[in-house]
Amino acid sequence: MIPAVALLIVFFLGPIIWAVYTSLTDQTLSGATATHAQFIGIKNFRELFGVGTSGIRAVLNTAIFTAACVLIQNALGLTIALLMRRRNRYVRGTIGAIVVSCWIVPEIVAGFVWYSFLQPPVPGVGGGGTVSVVLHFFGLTQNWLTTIPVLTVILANGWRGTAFSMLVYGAAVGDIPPEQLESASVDGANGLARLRYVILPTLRKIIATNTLLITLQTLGVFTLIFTITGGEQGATLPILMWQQFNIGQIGYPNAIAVVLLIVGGFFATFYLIVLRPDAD
Amino acid sequence: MKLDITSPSPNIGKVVANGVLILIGILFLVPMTWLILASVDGNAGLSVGLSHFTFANFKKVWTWNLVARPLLNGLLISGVTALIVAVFSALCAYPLSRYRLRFGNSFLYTVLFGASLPATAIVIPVYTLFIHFHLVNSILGVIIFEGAGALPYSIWLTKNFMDGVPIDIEEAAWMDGAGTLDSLRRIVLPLVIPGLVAMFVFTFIESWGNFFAPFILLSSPSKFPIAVSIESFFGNRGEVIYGQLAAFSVIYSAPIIILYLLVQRVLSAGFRLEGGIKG
Repeated sequence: MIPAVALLIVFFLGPIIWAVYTSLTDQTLSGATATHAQFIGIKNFRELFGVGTSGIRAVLNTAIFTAACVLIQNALGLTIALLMRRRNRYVRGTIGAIVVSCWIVPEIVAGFVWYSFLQPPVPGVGGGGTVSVVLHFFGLTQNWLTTIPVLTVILANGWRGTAFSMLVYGAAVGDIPPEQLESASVDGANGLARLRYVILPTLRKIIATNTLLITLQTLGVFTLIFTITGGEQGATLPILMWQQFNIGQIGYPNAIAVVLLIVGGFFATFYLIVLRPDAD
Repeated sequence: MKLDITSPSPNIGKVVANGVLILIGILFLVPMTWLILASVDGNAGLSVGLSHFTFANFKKVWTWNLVARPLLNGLLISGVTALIVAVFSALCAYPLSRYRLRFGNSFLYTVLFGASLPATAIVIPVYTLFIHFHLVNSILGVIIFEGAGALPYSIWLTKNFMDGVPIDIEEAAWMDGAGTLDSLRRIVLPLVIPGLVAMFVFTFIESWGNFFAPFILLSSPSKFPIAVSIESFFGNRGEVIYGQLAAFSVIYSAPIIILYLLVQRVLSAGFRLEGGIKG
């Protein structure tokens, strides 16, 4: 156990403590403050949560992005898992393979795919991504990549992440005793009533676990957003962290890291509580 | 099937369910179709289509600096990371699974807590820490960081996997005079090898797709893994040749898609093995 524990303490716990420490200083990558950083208290955090700053916008973007992805992936994943029950195995196999392949491709490639998919038409020339071409057919046009970047990355991440929920719910739905559903429908419950009174209550714990896991996975998404937006518009906290690092800051990006770790730690605690064997 | 007989108008329900599923499948497939078609299209644009079938895109991007060396760097980083993680987590999980350690449970929950934290947040603190260790712009640094990041989750999974190997078998071996190391090597290891292989592959896939860590920690192009190389190829948006970008993406994705298909088999083989013993 010792090698693993040593590695974890030095390269996992160490950086976390280091992040907390440097987030309270004005350290930079070069210049005088690189070697002689001053302790500045919570100034970096004030800047992050200040009214009208890029920090508070990133906090909001991260909240919207995470909440929307959690909703989309839960809803779509559960819908697909429920629809897959009792379908013939060719339909199940094909749909399953398509959805899982969106999840298996590397994050950057998923980013390219959505960057091209939503590319706006060139003014006066036309063309653009598949969505633009289809919309053009109906006489419409779009420029979502620059006008609503948050929506674009939500769609892309939802597309990529749905497979995880689908697999989780697929396994869970299979564990619901068929007799329960059968007796509910004998009692006259239609599909919606069965979903509300039998399926959802049975899956309560799985839904909670899955929601927390997606939240934790989504909070730290960097690569997909970076590839699609170039790390410019619609910055979430990880993107802002990189932007600040890129201009030579250390204290401020590490303050963002600490905020992400605190928020993550909060959800991780809930996750452990839900996971306890006796939790209900 | 039983349910269909008792539910009202089963056929309409069936048609609707199939229809919705196929629609969802198409919506998921369409964005990906561009990638596949563009990679073999000589005049690829940004929308789905195929005007001139060719493998020229693949030939164009397949150069030492752009693809071959980054591919080898990627194999080195992800392979060594996955190997370290598999070995360390097996050694760490065995005592956790087999002995009642005083801090065993709290250790496990701490590990799971650590595994749940967003790893992205730690990369920049690690960079600033690595400056002091002289591990910046070093492949070893990337391996150590990615290994430490993947270890918590993999310890947790390996421990659960070892719990699945019934202790009775081991006890029987002890009765017959086998020592602890003997039973680890001859009884437990063969049974958990499918799990460790799966663990190795999952860590490999994670690391292969990890762009942020090498992007921040490495600065010389000669050390870039393929994840960073493909990003810098894409770098000048608008000027990139989309067919080549798609071909590059296919080359970059291929190894982990193949590994994923392989691990599915390994995993199901592992479960069959376990079932066989229990039965």
